[in-house]
Amino acid sequence: MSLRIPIFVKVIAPLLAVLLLTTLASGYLVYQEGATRRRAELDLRVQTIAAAAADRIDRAALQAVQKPSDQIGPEYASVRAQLVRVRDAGAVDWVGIYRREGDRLYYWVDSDATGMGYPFFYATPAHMAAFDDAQQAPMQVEYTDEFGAYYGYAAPLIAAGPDGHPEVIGLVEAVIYGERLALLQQATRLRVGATLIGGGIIGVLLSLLAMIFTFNRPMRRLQEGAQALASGDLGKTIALRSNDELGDLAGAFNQMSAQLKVQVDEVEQRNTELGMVYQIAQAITASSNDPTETLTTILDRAQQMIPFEEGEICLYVPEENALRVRGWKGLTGSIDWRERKYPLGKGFTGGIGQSRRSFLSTDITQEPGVKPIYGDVVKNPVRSYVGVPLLVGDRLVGTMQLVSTKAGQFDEHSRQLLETIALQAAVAIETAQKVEAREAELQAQIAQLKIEVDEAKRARQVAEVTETEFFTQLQTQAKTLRQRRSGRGESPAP
Amino acid sequence: MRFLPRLRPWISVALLSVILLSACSLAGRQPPRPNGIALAPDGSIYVMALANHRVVHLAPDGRRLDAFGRLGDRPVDIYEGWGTALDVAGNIYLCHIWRDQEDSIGRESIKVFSPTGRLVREITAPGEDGAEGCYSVRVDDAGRIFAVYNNTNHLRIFDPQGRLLTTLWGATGTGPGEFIGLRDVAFDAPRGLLYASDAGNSRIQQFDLSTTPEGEISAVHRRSFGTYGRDLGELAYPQYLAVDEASGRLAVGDMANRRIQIFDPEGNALAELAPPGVDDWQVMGLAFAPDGALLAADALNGVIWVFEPDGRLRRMIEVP
Repeated sequence: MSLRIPIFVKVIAPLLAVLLLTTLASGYLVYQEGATRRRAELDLRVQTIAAAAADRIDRAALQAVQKPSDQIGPEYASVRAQLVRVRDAGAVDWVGIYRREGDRLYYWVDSDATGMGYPFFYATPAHMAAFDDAQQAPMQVEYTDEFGAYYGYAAPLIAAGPDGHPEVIGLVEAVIYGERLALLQQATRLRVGATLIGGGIIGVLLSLLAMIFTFNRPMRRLQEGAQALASGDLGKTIALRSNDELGDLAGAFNQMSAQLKVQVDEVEQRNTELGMVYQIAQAITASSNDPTETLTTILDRAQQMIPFEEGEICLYVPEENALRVRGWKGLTGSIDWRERKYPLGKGFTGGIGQSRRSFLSTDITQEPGVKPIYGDVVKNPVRSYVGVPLLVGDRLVGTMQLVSTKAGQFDEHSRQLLETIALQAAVAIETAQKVEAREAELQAQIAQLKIEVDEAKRARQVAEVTETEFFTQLQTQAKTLRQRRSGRGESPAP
Repeated sequence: MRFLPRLRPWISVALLSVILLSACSLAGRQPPRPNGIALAPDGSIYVMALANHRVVHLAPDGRRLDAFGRLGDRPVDIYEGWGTALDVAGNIYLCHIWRDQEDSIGRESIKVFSPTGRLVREITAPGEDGAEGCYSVRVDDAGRIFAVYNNTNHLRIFDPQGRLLTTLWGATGTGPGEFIGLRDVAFDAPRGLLYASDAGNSRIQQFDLSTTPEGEISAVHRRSFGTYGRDLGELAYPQYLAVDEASGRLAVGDMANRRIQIFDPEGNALAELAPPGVDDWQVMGLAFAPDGALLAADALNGVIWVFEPDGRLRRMIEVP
């Protein structure tokens, strides 16, 4: 079992966590700074209240309170009223006076009327230290009882002792409830925390959304694209417009997909072309030995593979050292092609014949120097040209050239195709030429034989005439006559 | 086992979470501060744990059996509970106080829970402003509910359905039937006595409790005993009470003197009890067991001390 951990978790989540923690830490430091300042202000206030209360308490009234039931007496009420005023003026929660019995503290009078002599179970060393040292400044105290936590200051309450010397008779304490302090801190924490956590959560959520939109979705699209590509949907593109690495990746994917499609299309086209070339070869082979028909067939097939507006096949005439158009295919209205002749070495076609190399011009207006001899197709200027020599071995049979009035109609691939066709065509043309020549020779021989036969016939007719009895008699008579004349001095005629 | 290395990060995360949660849980724990205690007939103990806002049910040996209640504002929740009592059906009674943000008493009532912690009834004294400071509640054998109010020195008696039958006392003072902080009452049914702890006056007042055939309840002052002081027989802020009906002994939580004092029905101090070797403690709820043992809730240390009838310490039970 392999645990799948998304990239988001591996990479982005730690980054977000670090960002969040950094934000929280910063917020905490800000909060701490504020809390420390507020705490210092609070300390000063409570400290001042404790000291002020210790100064102003009516000692005589206080010392009149000596048992719990005194709390319903006027002295207790008087001191308590003083403490309540101090409490309210100082905006603290409780102000009270403790008394000490041995090592234990008891409430004496306090703003809540807890009761004289009620035990204070939560005395701290600071409380005891305040009792021990009359010069002691208010001591910070912090404790918890069953009703909650308290934070404040305790100051010694000094009065004249029985011997007239000042002594600590009690301890004044001013506190705020820990809950209040905690609530204050909590409120601050909540504000700061809520801002930070809320901001953090919103940040994380936004990051997640951003991740979904900028990462997950593009990744899913890429995945779908790859799957589509794998299932044969060549040329599949991903609509992803993000100007980042993912956009680059999508662009590369689209490029790859398009390239794959082009390549596969090319292969398929090549296969088709090869099939057509094969068909052309078969067609050429199967065509009659009439050169004109062969040339027409070649041009027809070539046009299926390479669209053109006008195509010619020229045959080399050694006597004229020129190429004469023997096959033509094109638009009606062109000039009479039968009159076309390309001297070797002149124009594009003559150049092909002379150089025995194919020639391609995607825009002949851009070709320096050389111009086509026949530069128009039905009065439209020729723009594209491709031509190949027809060779059997090194011997030039002719040329085949295609033209178009559109620039860029032909390309290197057109030239290669035409060269492939030319290989088959040259052989076929030569064969046709040979057949034609043989036929001509045979015709000549037949004509000679006819002459000879006629002559024989004539000789025979003569013989038939001369070998007749009548002619023999005539010959005999003629001989006789010649002899008679010689006898009279005249030689007879032969 | 071969998956372990792969799972290690997740195991670490899980352990860390458990540790953090445990730390948070421990950080939130409060000392229970038990203040009310009641014994069931089977010897099990119900304790009101003030700071934990719940009632804990313990076996006689101290094992925790159950607990109910939590901090909240729903009727079934316990914001601040004081005193604990049981009726014959085993229902648990406690004074319930809900404090407002200024920490003054916002509402108070007597909440009655079934042994399983279901809220059976909530009793509110009619016409009061809810600031009387309900401090203790007792239920007699007839099912009548005696609610003690510290701030007004009232003793309100309700019938088992929560209808107010009568209100006794209420005057602040030092005379008979007057109080400076009425904290608790205890019945001595066989002797027809009612004891009331008078914290500010550092005394116990004893009354003859009677009910006429018409249902009229009266409490006639019989005697008061105790004065403010530290010596035997003297008291300082007596709180909760318990009566051993078999012997008539009265246990008084002499809180400010950090002891329990035992009195006879005539008000004579018989003994004082305190857990030995304990530096400080705060005695609150008291209850006698059928065998004469005395159970005392110690709010300061969060335990229950169990004393033998002769005063020796039998056991300490921690309140969970």
